[in-house]
Amino acid sequence: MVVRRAFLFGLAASLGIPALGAASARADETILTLRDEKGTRIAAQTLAEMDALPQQSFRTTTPWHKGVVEFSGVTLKAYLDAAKVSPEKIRFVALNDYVVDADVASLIRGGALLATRQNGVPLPVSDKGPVFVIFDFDANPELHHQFYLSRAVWQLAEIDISQ
Amino acid sequence: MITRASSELPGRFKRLRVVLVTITAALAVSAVLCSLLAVQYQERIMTASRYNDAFDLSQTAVELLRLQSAVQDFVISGDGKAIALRLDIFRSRVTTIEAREDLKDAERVAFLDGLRGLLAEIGDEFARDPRPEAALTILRLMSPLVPPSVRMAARAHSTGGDVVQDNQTHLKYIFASLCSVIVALVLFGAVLVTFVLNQNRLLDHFARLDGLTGLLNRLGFNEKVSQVKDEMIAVILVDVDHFKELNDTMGHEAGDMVLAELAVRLKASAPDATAIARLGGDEFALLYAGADAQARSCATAERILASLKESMVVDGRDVMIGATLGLCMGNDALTRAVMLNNADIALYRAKADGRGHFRVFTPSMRDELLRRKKLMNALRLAIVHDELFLLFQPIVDTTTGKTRGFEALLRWRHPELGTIPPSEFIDLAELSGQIVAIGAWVIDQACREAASWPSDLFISFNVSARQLTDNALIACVAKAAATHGIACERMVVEITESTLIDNDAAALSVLHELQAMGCSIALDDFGTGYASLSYLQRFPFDKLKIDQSFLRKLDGENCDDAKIVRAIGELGRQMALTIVSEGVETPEQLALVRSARCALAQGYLFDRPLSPKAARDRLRQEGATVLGIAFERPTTATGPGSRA
Repeated sequence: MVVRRAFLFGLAASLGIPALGAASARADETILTLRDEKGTRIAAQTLAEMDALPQQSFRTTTPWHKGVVEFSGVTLKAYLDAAKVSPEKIRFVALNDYVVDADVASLIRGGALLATRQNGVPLPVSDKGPVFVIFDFDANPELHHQFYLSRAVWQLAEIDISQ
Repeated sequence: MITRASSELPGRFKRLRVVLVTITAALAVSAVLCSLLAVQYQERIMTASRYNDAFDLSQTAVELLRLQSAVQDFVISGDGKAIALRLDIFRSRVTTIEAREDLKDAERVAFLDGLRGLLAEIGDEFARDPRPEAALTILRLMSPLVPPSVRMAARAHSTGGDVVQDNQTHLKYIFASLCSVIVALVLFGAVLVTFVLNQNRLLDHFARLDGLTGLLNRLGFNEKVSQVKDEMIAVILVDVDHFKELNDTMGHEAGDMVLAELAVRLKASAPDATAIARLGGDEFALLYAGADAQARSCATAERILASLKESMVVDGRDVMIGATLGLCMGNDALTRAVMLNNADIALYRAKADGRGHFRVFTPSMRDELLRRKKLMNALRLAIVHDELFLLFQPIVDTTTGKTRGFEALLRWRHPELGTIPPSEFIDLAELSGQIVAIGAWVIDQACREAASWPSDLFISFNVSARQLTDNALIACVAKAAATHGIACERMVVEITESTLIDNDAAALSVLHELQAMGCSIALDDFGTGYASLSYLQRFPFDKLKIDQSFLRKLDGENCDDAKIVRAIGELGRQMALTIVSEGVETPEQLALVRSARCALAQGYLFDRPLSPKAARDRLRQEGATVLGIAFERPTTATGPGSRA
């Protein structure tokens, strides 16, 4: 766990130092890391690499935004498929140390999206970037539940496959 | 006075219907209410699990403190690496809280303004290139924001708790309502089930009752019969005489009232009956069980007949009804199964014997009925199978003894049952309607035979009531005359008084027509029926046949029968009618009828009924011989004369 924290801080530092306030991350910076059960890094993506994965978008309201917002990015399912893993449980780890465990099937059923853009603009850390796990709340009222709300993780930096 | 039944349903049933509909409606409303509550319940649960911002606000405090800590680190150690990230995270948090438009209380607004002020003071430059002086200013600005941020979190936490509490209370109410609705549903269901079961029981009861009289119906009666444990049981069948005519003349409602009144009388006459039922139509049945069932049922039958001696008042009119009863008694299971059938056979027999009394079933009645049924079926094919044949009894001139004509007499020889007496099968033929075809066959055969005789001889044949009212009779006579080439003047149509009683007008016109064609009309069995002498005026008779009963008991010249015969002879002379005397068997009888001026006679003294060939032989013989006054009794005669 100490290693993990150290890494996160390192990542944060690498994002933070060159970051110009609300400006977006540099193209060559890793924004999301995928780790297996043993903590070994399986994959890491820059914004460009995330953009290269199948993209999806939807417009919805959320409890944290004024009005309707368009989110775009790669779905969790497509992301895991691309990484050729199919875990049952994963853990989301955010830059602000927000951590939540989740059942992958439920997330996929809820249409979890790893959003990297809001209204077409890359998400900065100062506004829930670089990755925001978001659901299409307007499309499905059932998503207005603590189960999904608590898994709408902003400032996502890492996905850990749980044992 | 019997009153008419109302066609309206009784009030009790109307109320039941209202209750039923109300309960069903209540059930429907409960069900809808239940669904609404369920939906509300679900929505409430959804709301209860909605986002609450307590965590967001507590995170605000944490992120503010972590930013403060990063700035302090910089001031102390000069390391400002962490500032940019913490600032970004803090900015993100402030943006998030700002988006919560629903949180508008003054404390919050002031707090948010403080956060915005802090961010504006820090600016973009500080993150990129932190300076110690700016850091101290920022730390000074930050410190007063820490307590309200923690307080905000605490308040949000308790408010969240209030919302949960509120939701829980609400849920409790909804759940309680839901429970009451379900209980109501169950109760209503129970009421309905009870009601349906009760209705079923009632229906079951009514299915065994006759609606008109309130007595049992056939189903109920059969059930009672099968339930009786006693060995000896008796069944009385009661049938209203001429009920159809009553319905036709007074209407079916009046008929129904008579049946209802009869039911009352039956109940009064049979207080000790095990069951009283109306089996259908005008047929009632009573059941007696126990050792003395036999005696009690007979006594009841007598009482029922006696009770009907008093008239009924229906629709303001006095109505006399009669009934005929059939009884059956038995003490074994086999008899019990056919109890009603046997009673019906006894009833049939009682009717055949002339209604208005009762008969107790005996096995011979069934045999008799079976024989009748068998004969009735066989009769249909008797003509085709050539089982019918005619005999011819000569009718002679009382003065000369010479044959003047023959009466054709119908006979039936059944292949198994032998010769059936006309008294038995003519009745069956009348009942089954076969009489029309058989009558036509008789006329045809008689005329065919007559064609072979000298043309001054007549042929006499009997016509029944049914034939007399059948239009085909005229055509039949005409056809026989034409086919066999004999004049209608040679034909004598014999009818009995009883034939005329029921068919006065119709018979009169047919008789006139026959007479117009040339046929003679003879009144058979004169003096024995009910008819008055006025018949002689109304109907166009040519001949009267004195019934043989007047001759049978003849005892001397001055006995009553002799006087009657002489009176009829005088009547014939006065009214210009030919008198034929039947059943002449002795020379004394012949002397009497001759003295009574009866022109013609028939009987064993002259000849028994002859086969066609024998009849022809007799005529041939007569052609050579003129008979004297005294006749030898034919040696072939074996018994008294008979006729159909």
